[in-house]
Amino acid sequence: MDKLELFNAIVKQARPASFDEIKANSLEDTFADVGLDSLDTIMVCIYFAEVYGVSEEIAKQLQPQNVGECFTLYQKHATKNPETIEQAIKNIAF
Amino acid sequence: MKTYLTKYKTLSTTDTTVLSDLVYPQRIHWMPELYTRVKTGLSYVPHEMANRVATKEIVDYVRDNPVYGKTAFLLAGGSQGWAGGKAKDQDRPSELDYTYKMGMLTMTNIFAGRMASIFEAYDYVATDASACASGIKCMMDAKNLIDNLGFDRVIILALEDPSSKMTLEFFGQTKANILIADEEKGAIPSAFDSKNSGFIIGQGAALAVFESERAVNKNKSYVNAKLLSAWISAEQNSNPIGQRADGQGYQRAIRGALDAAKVIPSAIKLVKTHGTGTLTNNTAEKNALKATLDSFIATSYKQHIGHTVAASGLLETCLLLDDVRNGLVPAIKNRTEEDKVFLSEPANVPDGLMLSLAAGMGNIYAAAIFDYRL
Repeated sequence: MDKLELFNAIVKQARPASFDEIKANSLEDTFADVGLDSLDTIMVCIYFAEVYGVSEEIAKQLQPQNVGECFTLYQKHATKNPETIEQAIKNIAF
Repeated sequence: MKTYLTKYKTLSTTDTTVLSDLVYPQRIHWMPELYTRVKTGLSYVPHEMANRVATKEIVDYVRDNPVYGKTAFLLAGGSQGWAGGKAKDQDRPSELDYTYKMGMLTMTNIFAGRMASIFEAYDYVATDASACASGIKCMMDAKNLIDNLGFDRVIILALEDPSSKMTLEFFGQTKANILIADEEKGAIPSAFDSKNSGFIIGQGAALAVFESERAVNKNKSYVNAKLLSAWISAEQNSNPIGQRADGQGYQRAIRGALDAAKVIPSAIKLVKTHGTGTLTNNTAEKNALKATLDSFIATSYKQHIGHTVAASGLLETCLLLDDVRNGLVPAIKNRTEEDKVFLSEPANVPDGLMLSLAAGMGNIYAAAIFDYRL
């Protein structure tokens, strides 16, 4: 599963539907590089915790700084490992 | 300055569901589909309602049709923080349980900022906490912003979470609405009726765009109605959850709206009452209308869709405009006496102005006057 593609799919879910779409181009991109504001960042992190089944207690301790860290940190504590983007998005999508 | 209602979208349901697993079991106008994502903690009931009224069509209209002056976004939220998924006392597991994981967005001002950015309304953002009078209070603010402060467009979103366990418990404790125990004794919702009375709670929301005449002319916008005035008043009452029998608060609000609109009482021919149907509101609202107006017909929506609290003033106004467009003013549901003023049967739309009323806990009374003859 392409990590950038999954990250961008989660961003799309976390931001209001009528906002212009923004995308990460690299796993090294910071949230600011992607165009995520502070509220977007909080929501994206909560969605990541949901996608990987990370408990709220643990998720609160995680503070990823860029796209790649979202994967390393949340996957480290994952209780779910979706195999496809569709599977990952299923439970968080509108 | 002329102010027009150019766009609106409403959300409500006439369906009812009995929620029996509450401390105060009650029937409400409920939309279970709102809870699908809420149960995961990734969404929140008011936000789900907002998503359904802040439609792409209205967002695109606002973005694609810029105005000369400023744009404001007002959230008629009823209170400063929406009640959550838990009740304070005597809590027990319920279908309504949820734990929203983004708690900061339950603060109405933060949510208002979020919604304002969707509409690119960056000149003024505000929330209103005038309880069930919030919707009309925001109309008063909209009129003021457009008339006096250089605004050309004001977007109002009216909603809260009336079905939160905390809210339902509050209404149950204060015996404000009809519970299942009351139904078993024969209680049926109605208003201004000698036999049936009271209301049940309903989920609902409304979004409306008010614009100045120059904005309407610039964009050649379709106009639904003209907002002539909106006014808020309090009343002399030591009880903030009580209502004076003489309807002093309603009278003050109605007279304020008439003065601001510069119209005489006989010009009002159609009234959307607050119409909770409680004995105190029946007396206060009826006495106020008799004291201030001449000849009119009046209806109420709370018996059709429930009391949608903060949303009710704007939502019910928009529903009446829908009905006016269809040519028929609906009757007040469950009336047992023939009544041609507080309608027991549907009536034709009269040729005149429309008065929309609301009242909120805290001795807050609101009135708005519209002209739908456009």
